[in-house]
Amino acid sequence: MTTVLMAPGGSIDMVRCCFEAGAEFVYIGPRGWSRRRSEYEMGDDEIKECAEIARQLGGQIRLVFNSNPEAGHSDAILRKVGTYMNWGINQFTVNDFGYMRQIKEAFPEAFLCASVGAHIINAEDARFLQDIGVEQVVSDCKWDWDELQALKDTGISMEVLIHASTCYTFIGSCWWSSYMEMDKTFDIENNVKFLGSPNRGGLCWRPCLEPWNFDLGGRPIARTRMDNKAFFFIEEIPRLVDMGIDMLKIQGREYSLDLMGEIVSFYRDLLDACLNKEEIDFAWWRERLADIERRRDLQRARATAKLYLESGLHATV
Amino acid sequence: MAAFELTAEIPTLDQLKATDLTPFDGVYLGQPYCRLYRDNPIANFDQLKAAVAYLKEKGKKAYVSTDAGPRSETLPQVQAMLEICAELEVDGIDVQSLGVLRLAHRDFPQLPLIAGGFINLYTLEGARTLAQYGVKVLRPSYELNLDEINLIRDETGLEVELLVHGKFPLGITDRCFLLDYQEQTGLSCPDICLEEFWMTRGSWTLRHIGTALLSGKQMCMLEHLPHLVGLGYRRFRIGTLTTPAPHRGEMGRIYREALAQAADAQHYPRETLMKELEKYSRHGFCNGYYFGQSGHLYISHAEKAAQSATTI
Repeated sequence: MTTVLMAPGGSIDMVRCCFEAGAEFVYIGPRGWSRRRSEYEMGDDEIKECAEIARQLGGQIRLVFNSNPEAGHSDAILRKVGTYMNWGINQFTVNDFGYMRQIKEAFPEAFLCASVGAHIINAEDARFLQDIGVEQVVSDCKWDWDELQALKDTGISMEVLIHASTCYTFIGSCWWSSYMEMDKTFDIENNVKFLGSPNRGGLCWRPCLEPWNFDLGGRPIARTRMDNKAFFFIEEIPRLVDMGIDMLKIQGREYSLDLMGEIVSFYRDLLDACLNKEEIDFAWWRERLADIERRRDLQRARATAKLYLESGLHATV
Repeated sequence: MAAFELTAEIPTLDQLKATDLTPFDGVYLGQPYCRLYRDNPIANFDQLKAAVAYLKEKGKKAYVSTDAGPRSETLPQVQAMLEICAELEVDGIDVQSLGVLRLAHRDFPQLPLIAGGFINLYTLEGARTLAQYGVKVLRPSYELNLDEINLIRDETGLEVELLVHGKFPLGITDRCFLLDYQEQTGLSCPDICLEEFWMTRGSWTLRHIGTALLSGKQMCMLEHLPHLVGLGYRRFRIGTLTTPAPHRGEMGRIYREALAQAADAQHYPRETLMKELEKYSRHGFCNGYYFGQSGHLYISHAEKAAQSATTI
């Protein structure tokens, strides 16, 4: 099986743009069920339209249920999945291991992927998910090659993020943001979102990116930010392909359409070069990426500043 | 009324021996955030055996922590620890990973399993899945509120352990942040994390222990214990991993006294108990997420009562 590329669908336009730029898969967050704010999710009518776009362009839609909105929501998720299966969408990324088991029992033909937020960090975690019917896992953002190989050796299909943020903590095992500020809100379809908790459908205020004083028993040691880099893989791509990683994922539903189109084109070209066993001149690819990276950093910095203001936390420092 | 179980977290045998265990029914042994922590029983099996023996001698239950973020290379060591725990007939294993749960359930079905806070239990279906893997006691995700925890408990019939006091983790990572500051502090592993490191920003204070970030405030449900008891909870844990040994015993004593009086909500001496407990908190209290609010906020009994009255 060849390595495929998955890109974000933060809007109908982005779905079309990413397919046209060369993604085989585009992921979409059903409204109320994903780790992003509502404006980057889609209602069912929009999802249906995207399924038609995918059909026309020869791509596939994956729906991401990668948040845990409320503890007792299980009937609702089954109804959603049933609707999408009827529309020919059978690919789902899911965060909660309980929902994974439940969906597989109800829809054995569904293809299930465990989200990066499921905190799958060792081979036995992957085997646990295989036991309950999960076909694919997303590696965490702190993997090394040995860990990736250990996961791969379980025989489970693997997805690796190639454009994302490392996060300071393990994604899915962090509630620093919601500790500081969390509000229960409702989106336009009346779905619950805990604003401030990415695990619960809201957004992260990114407190790790703010400067903090670090002291030892009251003695100042440093003024510091936590390590949370946004990364673009280049040098890693050939090895990921050689390893037989099944899917490379580009994160970024919140980025601008033109930027995302360029990121997808970039990775389509690089992936094709790797699949065709061409010699890769990494310096040339880094140079091609430079302007994309600069614009990504700018958009990310603006978004972080806006989030911090929106959180109201600036008033407490 | 069924008896309560009050437990503490203690990272090492030395700390165990220095703690007055009288108020506690059991202890969670080990430091789950780093295997390199000095004399960590989850990595040093001589220490583990001695600590379990010590607890048994004192008539206390021995629960054993496991790694909060175990990588594949760590799994053989976790398996070896589980084998020893089975031989020692410990009272429970605090499991923080689905993979370790799978191992324990498959190879050591006789070990009672407790689902810890990093197993990421957020849903009723998640609890049902854990039950299929032999879990008997749940500690749901820190971010769940009491209504959700009640739902999970009532629908599954599984026992729930509530964290009622202490600093709680806000996140874990896989490399020690403190090691970046060895030069500035003159300290190195494994001594550096024995010191108190803090992160501050304006009015915010957080505790950093290297591979985990902890709430600066202490979660405190002392005022609300009668409510929790009224809801049917009987199993309570105090997060005392970073607490000095003398304070650990005192905090346990206060909670034990509180539990003895919690059945009588009308005469429950909230003010007296809180005044005593305040001596052991430098950065204030919070309720975590139990009332559905931001984790750092503290809602007193009076405020909660006023909220309920307004809702009615």
